[in-house]
Amino acid sequence: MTRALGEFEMLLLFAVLRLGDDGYGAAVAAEIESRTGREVAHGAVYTGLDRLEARGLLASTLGTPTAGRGGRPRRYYRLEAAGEASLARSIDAIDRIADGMRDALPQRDGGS
Amino acid sequence: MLARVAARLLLRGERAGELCDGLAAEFDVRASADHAAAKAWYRRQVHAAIATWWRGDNREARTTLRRRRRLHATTISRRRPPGATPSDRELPRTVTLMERIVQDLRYASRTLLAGNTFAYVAIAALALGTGGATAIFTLVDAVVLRPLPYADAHRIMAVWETSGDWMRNSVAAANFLDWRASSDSFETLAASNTSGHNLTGRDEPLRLSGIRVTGDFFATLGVDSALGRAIVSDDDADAAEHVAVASHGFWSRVLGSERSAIGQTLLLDGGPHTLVGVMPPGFSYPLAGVDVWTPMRFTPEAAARRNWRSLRVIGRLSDGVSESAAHDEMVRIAARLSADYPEANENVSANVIPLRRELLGNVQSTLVAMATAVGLLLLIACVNVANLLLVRATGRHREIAVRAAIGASPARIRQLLMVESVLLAFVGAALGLALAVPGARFLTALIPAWVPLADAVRVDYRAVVFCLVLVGLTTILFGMAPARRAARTDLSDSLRGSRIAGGDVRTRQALIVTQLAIAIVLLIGAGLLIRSFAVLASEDLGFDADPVLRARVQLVEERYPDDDAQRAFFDELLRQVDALPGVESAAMVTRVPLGMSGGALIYTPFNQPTPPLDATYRVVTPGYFKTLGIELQGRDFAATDAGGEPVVIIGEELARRHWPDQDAIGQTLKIGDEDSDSPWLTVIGVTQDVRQWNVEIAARPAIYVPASQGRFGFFAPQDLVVKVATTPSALARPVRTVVQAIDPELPVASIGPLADVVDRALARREFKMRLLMAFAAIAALVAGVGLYGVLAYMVESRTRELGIRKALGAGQGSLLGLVVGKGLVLVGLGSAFGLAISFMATRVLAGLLYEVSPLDPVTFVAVPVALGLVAIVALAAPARRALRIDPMSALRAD
Repeated sequence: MTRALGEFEMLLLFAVLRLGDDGYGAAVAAEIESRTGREVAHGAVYTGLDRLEARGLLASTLGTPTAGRGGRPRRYYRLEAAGEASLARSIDAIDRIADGMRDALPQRDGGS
Repeated sequence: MLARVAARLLLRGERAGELCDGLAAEFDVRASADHAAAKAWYRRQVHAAIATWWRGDNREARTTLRRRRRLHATTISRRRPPGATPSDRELPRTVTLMERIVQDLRYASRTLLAGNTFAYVAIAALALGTGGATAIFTLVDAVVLRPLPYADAHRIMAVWETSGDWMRNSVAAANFLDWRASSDSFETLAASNTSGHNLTGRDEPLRLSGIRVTGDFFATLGVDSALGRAIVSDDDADAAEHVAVASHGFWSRVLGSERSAIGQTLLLDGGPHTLVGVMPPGFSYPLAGVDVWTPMRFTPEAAARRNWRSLRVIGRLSDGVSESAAHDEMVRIAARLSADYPEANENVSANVIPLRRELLGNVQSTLVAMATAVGLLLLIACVNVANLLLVRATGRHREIAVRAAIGASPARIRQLLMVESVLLAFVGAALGLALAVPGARFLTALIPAWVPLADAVRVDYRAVVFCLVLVGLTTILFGMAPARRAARTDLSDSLRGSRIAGGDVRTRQALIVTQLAIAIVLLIGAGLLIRSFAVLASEDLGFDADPVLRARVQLVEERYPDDDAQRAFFDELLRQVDALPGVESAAMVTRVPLGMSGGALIYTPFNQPTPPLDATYRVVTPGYFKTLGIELQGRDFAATDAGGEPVVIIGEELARRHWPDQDAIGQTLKIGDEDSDSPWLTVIGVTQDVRQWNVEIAARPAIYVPASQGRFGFFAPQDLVVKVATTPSALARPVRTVVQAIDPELPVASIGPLADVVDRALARREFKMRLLMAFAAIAALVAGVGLYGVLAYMVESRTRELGIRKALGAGQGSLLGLVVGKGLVLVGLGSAFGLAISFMATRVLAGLLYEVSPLDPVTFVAVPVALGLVAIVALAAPARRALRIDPMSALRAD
C-alpha cells in the first residue's frame, strides 16, 4: 500500500495540509484552483479525497451542521501520519530528481 | 438532478450529498458574479463527474471500503476457531455473482466502446434493426393482429357485385334490396354511399364529407355512438324525421365539442337535419374523414334501379354461418337475379369478402415487404455482432489464455464474453426502443387513412416484450458461439503466440458472405421499388398540372334546382375568374384527374354492335383541355354548342378501339345501350389519353361532353380549374373571393395547386421506396464495414506471410491481388447467394411494383455493381496496408 502518489493526489494532500482545520471538499477545490490557476472538477476532488481516505492517508470528521445547506454538516479532512509520510517522501523524490534542473528549463513569467 | 445522479455514481451515501452541496455553494458564489459563466462551470463540473465515473477512478476506493465493511461483517458472523484471523484468501469468495457481472460489465463497456468503430457500427445496426423491427411489429400488431375495432368484427363482410373479372363492383340499389330480402346468411345487410353536403346557416358555409347509410348500418358494424344515438333502422323510413350523426372530429372541430349540439338542427344542402348523436373518436367508415352520416332513403324510382351501381354493402353474418356459405348463397341469389333481369344483370354475380381483408388489401403486402426488410436488417445487425465478438475473441486469445492460466474457469471466461454480447445487445435494444416510438408513428404513413386502426399506433408493452425477446435471442444465438469457442482456448498454443485458428477465419468469412448476400437482397428490393417509382413518375399523365389551381364548388339542388341554374352559375364564375389578373384560362369539369373519383357510363358507337362498353364520362366547359394542357385534335367545345347539334370529344383510346384505321372525327356514338333513346353525339375532337382514376391505372376510354348540352345528373361539374401565369396558390384567395361574391352560401373546398393532387397520388409509393432505400443503404454500409473488418484483420494477421512473400520478391501486383482477390471472392460469393435468394424472394414485392418485373434485369445487374463499388472502398485501406508492409519488421515482429 505504499505506492507513490500521483500528481493530483499530491495536490490534494498539500491543499488539506495548507487549509489546516478548514479542509473540507469545496475549500480543497478552491485552494487547488487558486494556487494552480486551473479549474478542477469537484467530482474528482471529492472522489480523490475519498480514495486517499480509503488508503489511510487522510482521515475525516463531520463538522457542526451549518445553516443554509440543508443542515448537512461539512466533512473536514486532515492528514494521517501515513499521509504526512507519503507526502514527505514524494517531496523528497521530486526535490532529488529536480535538484539543479530548474535553470535548465525555460523560466515562466509570473510563476504560480 | 443530473448532478445528483452523477454524485451518486461517484460517492456513497452522504458523501454524494456533500459533493452536491459543495457544487451548489460554489455555484452560488460564482453566480453572484456572472450567472451564465457559473452555469457553464456547473455543467462542466457535472460532465467531469460523469467522466470520472466512467473511467472508474473511484472504483478502488469504493470497493476497498466495501470490502473492509464486509470483512468486518464476516469476522463477526463466521464461526472461526479462536485465534484464527481472516485471511486475504477469503476475500474473493465473498464477491457475489452479481458483483462479478457488474465488474465484467464495466470492463466490457470500457474495452468495447473505447474508440472501437466496429462496436459503434454494431450497436447502431442493432439499434436500427431492433428499432425497425419493433416499430413494424407495433404496426402489424395494430393493423393485422388486433381485431378491427368493431363488435365481433370477424362476422362483418363486405359484399360486392362482380362483373367479368372486376371483382369489387358497387351494387345497384334494386339488387341490394333483393339481396336483403332473400339472404338468410346475413343477420343484417346495410348499404352506404358517399354524398357531400354543403352546411349552411352558420358564419361561413362549409363543405362536409357525408355518408348516407341504411338504418341498420351501425348495427351491422357493431358500433355505437359516443353521445346521443347512432342511426337506427327506423330512421330510413320515408316519414321519419331527417336526422344526422356527426363524427367525433366534426363535432369537436365545428360544433365546439358541445354536448348541447345534440338536438340542434344542421342545414345540410338547405334541408334541416336534427343532430342525434356523435360517433366515438377515430370512427370513420367507410372512408377517412367522414363528417356526418345521414339515413339513406330509397324513393320508389331509386329502389327500382338496377343499372345504377353506387352502393357499398356490408353484412353481418348470422350466427354459425361461414364466410364461404354466405358467399355461395349470395352467388345463388345473384344468379337468380341475372336470370330475372338479364338486361341489367347479365354476367353479374356477387362476392363476399371479410371486412378485414377488404380494408387491408394491399396494405398487407406492404407490411409483409417492410417486415421482411426489417427482419433482414436485423439479421445483418446480428451477424455483425457475431462477427465483432468473434474478432474480439480471436484477438484476445492471449488475454483469455492468461486469464485461464491464472485460474479463471471456462465458465468465468464465457461469462465475461457473454456479458459483452449482452451489453452490446441491450445498448442496441435501448436505442432501438427509443427509435421505435417515433418510428412507429412515422411508419403509420404506410397505412392508408381508411384502415380503422384498433388504437392509435403506439409502442406498448407487447412491443417492448417483442423487442426484449428479439434481443435475448440475438444475444444467445450470436454471442454464445464466440464465447464457447473462446472459452475452449488451448492454453499453450495461445501463450506461445500462434495466432489464428483457421476455423475462426472461415466462420468470419461465412458471416461476411451472409451479410453481403442480405445486403444484395435488400438492395435489389429497394432497386425494384426505385425503378417502379421512376417508371411511374415519368409516366405521361396526359395533362400538365403545374400551372393549374383547382377548387371544388358543389352546387346543391335546393339552391340550383336545374341544370340551367347551374350553367348560369358556371358562366358567371368563369367570366369573373377569367377576368382576374394572372389567369390564362379557366374551366369547370366533373372531377379533376387522379382524384380517385368520378364515374363512367355505358356507351354505344354507331353501327358497331358490341357488348355494353363503359367509358370515363366527364362534363366540361370550353377551354378545359387548354387549361390542363391536354392535347386536342379537332375542335374544342364552344359557347355556340348550346342549343346546337349534340357533340362529344373522345379520348384516343376510345378512338383506337372503334375507329382504328379511320378518322374518328365525324363519327357518332350515344350514351346508354343500343336501345337507349339518348341522342347520337358527333365526335368533334380526339384528345390525348388522361389518367383519370390514379397514376397506376392506365388511361381508359374517355368521353367528354359539353356542359352546355344534355343533363348533368351525377356528372355535374364540381371542379374549377384555373391555369395561371404565376404560381397557382397565389390565386387561391382571389378565386375564393369571387365564389363568395357570387354565392355567399357556397363553400369552396379543396382549393390548391393541382400538382398537390398528383403528389398525393404518388406519396405513399414514394414513402415506401424511400424507406426501403434507407434500409438497403444501412445494410450495404454495415456489410461494407464488415468486409473492411475482415480484410483488415486478414492483412494484419498475415503480416508475416505477406512480409516473407515481399522479401522473396513478390511484386506489388501479386500482393494486391492476394488481398483484393480475397475481398472480391467474398463479394462474388455474397452477390451470388444474394442474387439467388432475391431471385426467389422478390415475389414478395410483386404487389408493390409497377411495370417492373420482380426479376428486372437492370436491377439485378446494377445492384451487384453498386455493392462492388462499396467493396472497393472497403478494400482500399487493407490493400494499401498490405503494400506498405516492411518485410524486415514483419519478420522481426512477434
